[in-house]
Amino acid sequence: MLGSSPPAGLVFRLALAVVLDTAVHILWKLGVSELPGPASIPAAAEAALHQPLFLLVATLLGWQLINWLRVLEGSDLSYSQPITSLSFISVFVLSVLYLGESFDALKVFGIVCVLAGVWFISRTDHDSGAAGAHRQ
Amino acid sequence: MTGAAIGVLLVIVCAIIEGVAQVFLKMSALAPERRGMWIGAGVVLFILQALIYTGALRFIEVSTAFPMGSIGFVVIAVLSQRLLREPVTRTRWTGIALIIVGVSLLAARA
Repeated sequence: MLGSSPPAGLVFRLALAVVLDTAVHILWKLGVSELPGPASIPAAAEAALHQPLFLLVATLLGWQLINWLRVLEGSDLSYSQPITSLSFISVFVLSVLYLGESFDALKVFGIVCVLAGVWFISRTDHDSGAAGAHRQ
Repeated sequence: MTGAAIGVLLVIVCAIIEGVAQVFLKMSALAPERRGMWIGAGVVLFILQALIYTGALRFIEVSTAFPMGSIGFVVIAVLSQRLLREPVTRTRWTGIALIIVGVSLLAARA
């Protein structure tokens, strides 16, 4: 089964995980940037509760959790989790474009390394659920 | 300790917590009779991680904080192999190592 393609449903759920991950982190940073200055953790938590962006982030995190549980039902954790690292790239691109964060050649090389890592992992076997039957 | 160092430290703590939480979620899929308990424990850890991550984002950029979370891959790989008996092949370790190198470069230049 080495190198076999994952089921279409698993691919969809992994893609959804990347999209949700990206949205969560960009919105999270936007929300934090709108919080008042240095404060205690309780004060910051209370301020966050009144910040609509955090409510949206919480909703997306809930959706992400439900989707992630379905991913785990059909695949190895050590297989699926690294695949979602694609969101490192999307978050980086969006943070540069919309949050004005820094960008240079070394960062691009870093992205290439991440893509290479994801490719290596995608070449390994995955647990489609039925495989759990042979795991004692 | 500088603000950036505090942010980096908080992100590392978040990555470790997430690694443990992910293993709990996988346990929920492997042990249906205790599904609620494992999911509950995972959710509690995720809430704790969210609070700490919010603090981290006050000190460093998201393009630094998010890639640094890849430390969680190492935690997950080790815990998956030891606790869940999932196979972690040499090829998969190579991929994980490349991801860590990549995101470390991203974090270093962010």
